[in-house]
Amino acid sequence: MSDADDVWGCVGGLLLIIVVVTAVAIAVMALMSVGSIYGAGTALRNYGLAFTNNVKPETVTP
Amino acid sequence: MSTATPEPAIKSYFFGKGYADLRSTIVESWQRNLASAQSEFTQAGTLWPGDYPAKGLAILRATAGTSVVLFGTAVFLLFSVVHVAVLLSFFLLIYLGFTLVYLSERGYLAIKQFFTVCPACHSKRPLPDYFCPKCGAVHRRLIPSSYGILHRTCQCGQKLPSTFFLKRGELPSKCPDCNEMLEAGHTEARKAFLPVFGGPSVGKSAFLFSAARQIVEDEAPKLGLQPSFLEARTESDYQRICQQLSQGRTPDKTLATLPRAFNLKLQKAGQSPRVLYLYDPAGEAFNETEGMILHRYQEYLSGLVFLIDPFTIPEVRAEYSDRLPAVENALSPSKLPVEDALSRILISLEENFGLVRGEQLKVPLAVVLNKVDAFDLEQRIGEPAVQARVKSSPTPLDPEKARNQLLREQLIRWDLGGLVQQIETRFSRIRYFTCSSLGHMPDASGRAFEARGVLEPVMWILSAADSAFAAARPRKAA
Repeated sequence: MSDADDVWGCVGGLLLIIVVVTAVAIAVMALMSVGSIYGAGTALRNYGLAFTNNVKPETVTP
Repeated sequence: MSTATPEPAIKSYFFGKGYADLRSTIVESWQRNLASAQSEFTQAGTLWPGDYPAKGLAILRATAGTSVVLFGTAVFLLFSVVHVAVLLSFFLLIYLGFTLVYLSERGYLAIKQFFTVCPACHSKRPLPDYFCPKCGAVHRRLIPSSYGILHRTCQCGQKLPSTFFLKRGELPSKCPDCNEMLEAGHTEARKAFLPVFGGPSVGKSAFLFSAARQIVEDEAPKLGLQPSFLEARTESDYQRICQQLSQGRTPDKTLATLPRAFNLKLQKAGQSPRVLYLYDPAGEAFNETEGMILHRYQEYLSGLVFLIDPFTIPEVRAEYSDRLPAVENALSPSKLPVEDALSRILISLEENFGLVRGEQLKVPLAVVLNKVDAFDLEQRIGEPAVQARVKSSPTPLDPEKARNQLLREQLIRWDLGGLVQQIETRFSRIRYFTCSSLGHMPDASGRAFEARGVLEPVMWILSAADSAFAAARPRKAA
């Protein structure tokens, strides 16, 4: 094995690590984005439910 | 416009419940957000120890939990601002709406001179208390307000008009002070207030009912006015006393020192109704100044009729001393000196009703000498004497002026110069009249009483108060 082969091996390993880390980061970010959108939707739904539960015209007591 | 005490009605959503709802919505949305976030974090905690997909889901859940808190805050802030803006917009619109309607109504009622006067306790108010026709709840301020611009909803669900323009006056109403039931005419009519003052037995009741009768039967049709009675009780009193007069019987003595107003409604087609408030206090009310304090109509007089029994005056009694004993019972002279009766009215006005001592009253005063049918008084101070004075005058003389001169001079000759001076000092508009509120002396014949000269003083005061009563009126002989 020549020195050149070692260098290319290191570069390849480094690239692989970068690709894997990037893939994991992208996956985590994607999951977090979906989580954020889901959370925001939940918050919106919570406000909507609270609004419909509470905002009602005054009713006449029989 | 705003109501100090709660009314038995449903307040506009934008004046009360809207803000409570906003608060409840924020509280509940936060509770829901916290519960959602807690649920997400719990699930994240459960998933995290698992394999990679589970860890991925844990990350998703944890992010969702955080997002619920962060976005929840943003959402509640944004929506609360929108919610408050909507509430305030409607609040302002409604406030503006009812303020405009309220001011329009107040202006209209002021121009029309409509206000509420209770015929029983004589309190004067802008409006009466109205009853809900369904449940009887009392609405003390049924006006355009935060309970509704044009209508309000009673707590029972009944819709009530809250303005004059929507026939609020058709609702049953009562006096806020004494709870006496009132008619629409006690509020929604232009009014004239006319008490007949004088000591006991000067003939106030006969004067008042005879004048009312002549207005109903004669004067109102001439003026194009349709007479009617506001209350059944007034009509029955009127019918009863008219019947007594027709049968030659004197009206029953007034017992109530605080009189109930005799209301007469007069309406011309296409015009606002007029309601007369005629007061006949028992003469005993003038025996003590304290007795006058409850006569609150003195606050808003249109004029006064001051009725004088000539046979109260010592000089008149002396002049007719030879014939008087024979008819003393029929004449029934008043016992209260004329000066005392007038002084008590003035003292009452000064002590209780804001008349400044020495100040002149602006309302017209009709000084009316009653019982001129007795002996030769008609010839001496009645219309024949007035006509004679007009004819004998070297310069053209108005009969009204001639009558004023004649009666004023006669009162001075009867040693009532002090009274004349007091009248002229305290009243700016004075006229002297004579009348016979019965037409002839009471006897056992049953001959009907037919009053003379009672209408003129009343119409003089009414026409000064309201142009609807003004008309050229030739003076009839009293």
